[in-house]
Amino acid sequence: MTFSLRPVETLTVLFVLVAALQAHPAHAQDVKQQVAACVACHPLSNVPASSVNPIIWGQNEGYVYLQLRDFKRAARASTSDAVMHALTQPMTDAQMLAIARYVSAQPWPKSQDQKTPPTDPLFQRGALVAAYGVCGHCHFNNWQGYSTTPRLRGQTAAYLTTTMNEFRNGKRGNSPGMADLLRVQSAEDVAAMAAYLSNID
Amino acid sequence: MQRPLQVPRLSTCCWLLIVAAICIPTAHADSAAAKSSSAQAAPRPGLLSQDRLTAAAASRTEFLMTHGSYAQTRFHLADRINRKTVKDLELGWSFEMDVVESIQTAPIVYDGVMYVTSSFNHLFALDAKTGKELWRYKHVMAPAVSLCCGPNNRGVQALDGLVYMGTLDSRIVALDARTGAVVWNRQVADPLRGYSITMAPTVVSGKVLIGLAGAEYGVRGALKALDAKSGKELWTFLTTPENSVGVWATKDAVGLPLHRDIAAEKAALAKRGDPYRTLGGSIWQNPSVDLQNRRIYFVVGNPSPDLDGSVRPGDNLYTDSLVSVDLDTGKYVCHLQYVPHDVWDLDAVSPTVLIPVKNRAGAIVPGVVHAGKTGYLYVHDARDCSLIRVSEPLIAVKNERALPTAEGIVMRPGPNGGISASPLAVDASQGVAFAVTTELATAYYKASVSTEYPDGKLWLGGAFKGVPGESAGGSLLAVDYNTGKIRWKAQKPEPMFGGVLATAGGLVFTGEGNGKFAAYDSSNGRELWSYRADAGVNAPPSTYEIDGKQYVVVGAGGNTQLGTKRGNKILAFSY
Repeated sequence: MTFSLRPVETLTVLFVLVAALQAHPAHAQDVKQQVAACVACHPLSNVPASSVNPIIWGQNEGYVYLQLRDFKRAARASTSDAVMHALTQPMTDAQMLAIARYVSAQPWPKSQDQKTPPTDPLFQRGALVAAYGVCGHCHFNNWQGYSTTPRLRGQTAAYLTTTMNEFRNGKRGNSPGMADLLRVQSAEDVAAMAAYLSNID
Repeated sequence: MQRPLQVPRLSTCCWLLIVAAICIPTAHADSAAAKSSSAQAAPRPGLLSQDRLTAAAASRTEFLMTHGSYAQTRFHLADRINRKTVKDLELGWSFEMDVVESIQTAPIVYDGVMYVTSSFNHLFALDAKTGKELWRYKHVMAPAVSLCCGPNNRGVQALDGLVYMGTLDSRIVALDARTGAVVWNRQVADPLRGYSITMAPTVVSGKVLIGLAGAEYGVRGALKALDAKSGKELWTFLTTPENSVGVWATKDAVGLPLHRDIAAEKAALAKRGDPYRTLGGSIWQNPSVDLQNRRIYFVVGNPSPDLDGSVRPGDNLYTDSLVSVDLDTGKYVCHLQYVPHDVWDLDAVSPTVLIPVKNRAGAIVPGVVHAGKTGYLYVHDARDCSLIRVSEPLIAVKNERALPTAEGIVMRPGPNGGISASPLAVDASQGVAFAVTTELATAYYKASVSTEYPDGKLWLGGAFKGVPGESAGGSLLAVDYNTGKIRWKAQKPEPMFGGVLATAGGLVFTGEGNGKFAAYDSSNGRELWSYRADAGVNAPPSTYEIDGKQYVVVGAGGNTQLGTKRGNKILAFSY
């Protein structure tokens, strides 16, 4: 299921969310209220593998903070980032840090319909490509990563595929190093890595 | 699959209480220490004085700093364990740290206390005789840190009752060596700019010397001196000077052509200006110290972005160089650049060693020795940094200094070297340096688009990949630094990373990623003893003596870059 709204609905959601975010300073209780809005696009559980919206709950704290910051300053500014760009406009740095802390502390939801078991050649190809691609240098500890390097393990296959390809084609511009690394991978190898990473426990 | 670091999820006020509980000295540490040994009281470290540190190389019983002494020879006088007795070496104790991740710590030992660090900056004080814990410090990390090559830490140093550690979030913490209480905690750089610290500090003459890393993120590298008592910054040496273009060298220090387009670079310089502000130049390892002449010697890492030279015209000083500065002022004394305008990520990493060497005329002069990612041993005259000789290649080389291509070109060495962070050991009585090498082929790709400085994000300017089908391995070898020739070489099945310890017992000790930790006859490389750990032994060993027993201690936690099996143990072998 991909999330999509009609323009009037989008505007309504944005209005409500932006109003909610502006109302309160960073505060344990308020953070909970603020992030409650995120669930609409980033469910807490039963996330389909076809979801292009990433799993965020349990993502590494430094990475979540940097993405919020980059959405706000339009360092991530592709057309599909418009909602996040709008949502982050009223956030202060302190709020972004508080949100990142809270989000990273939540349990990582399972992604549904895992169709590529370890016996599948696509899974195995993905493991090999990721190993030779030196991805584990930064996304270490069974693809958990750390701090500003995101967890890849168990992310939705659709989000992984889309993101890796957006680094390759320049649509995602907020990490030139990642763009360089992924441009030397073929579309087939990207699909294999996505199948592998999304299916690891 | 290793267990990830589990951090309790708590609100801010709970975090503050926990940090306070760890850091405020309590009766707990003393009572734990009192209970730890039925036979005798737990050791209490005295004030480790500068005089003792200065004489570290002469100690038969202690290991006072990460590379043994300020000269960094990693050569220890203890000889109870020797070529005859090493067969009887046995595991004495093992200690499990609370983090299962890469271990690169070099244990230090004084007054019967050992200090070791884990990844993510946990520091443990142990009874060096029994391995029992005396106290631990768990650093509270900033929320956003930028790493190059794993969350490792290379160790600590102590002086006058304090023990000092550099952290991944670019802080220096000074702890009470007896209790682990935090005495001061100083931010020395901004992790959001890409700065991190993985090296152990060098503490000397009232100063804490620390180098900053981050050249994968476009930082401006630096070596800083802080006042050891207060943490106040005394001086900073920036590794990229405002005039970084140098001499437009067309060959590297070995004499290999660099294939530079100098005309294009000069045009780029005219358009862009000097690139020094975001030029990189990480520092990864301890400087050696010449106390008599009040000078330090260190080596500097790669320029930013690693693989794309078009946005950084010039030689890119002082990246990939030996540099010497004044200990008291941080002022530049001399340098020698190994790889001008590097586009291969051939950092200078392995720590320098100060040792008398023969110059070309055969006269003995003060020397500096460094083993490069390039795969060569460089021998310098310490007085002016000039190069006396370069060894024969210590690894198989292929397409050296060929320019990266769009389709990818396979080269040896790659970004793991050669010799990267692993320290040498030097036996002056034999005139050899012992090194562990990595033999890996890497495919280098030139970026199809150049990118400008990305404001603290990963900045590579190209890519590298491993190459299926190409052989991988490594070696432990002895190279004669007065002739540049390899004396002996023991081939190993896997790339080697960790470091070497040499002793007056005629032995060298080093570990392997497959878990093997072994002792070799230092005169010929013959294996005399080994042990199989349950994780990669990719850390430098240390040695010490207590109550007539000699111990050899090493961390077995694997390595992030090489992907060897992770663990959490500190292993102490004794005879």
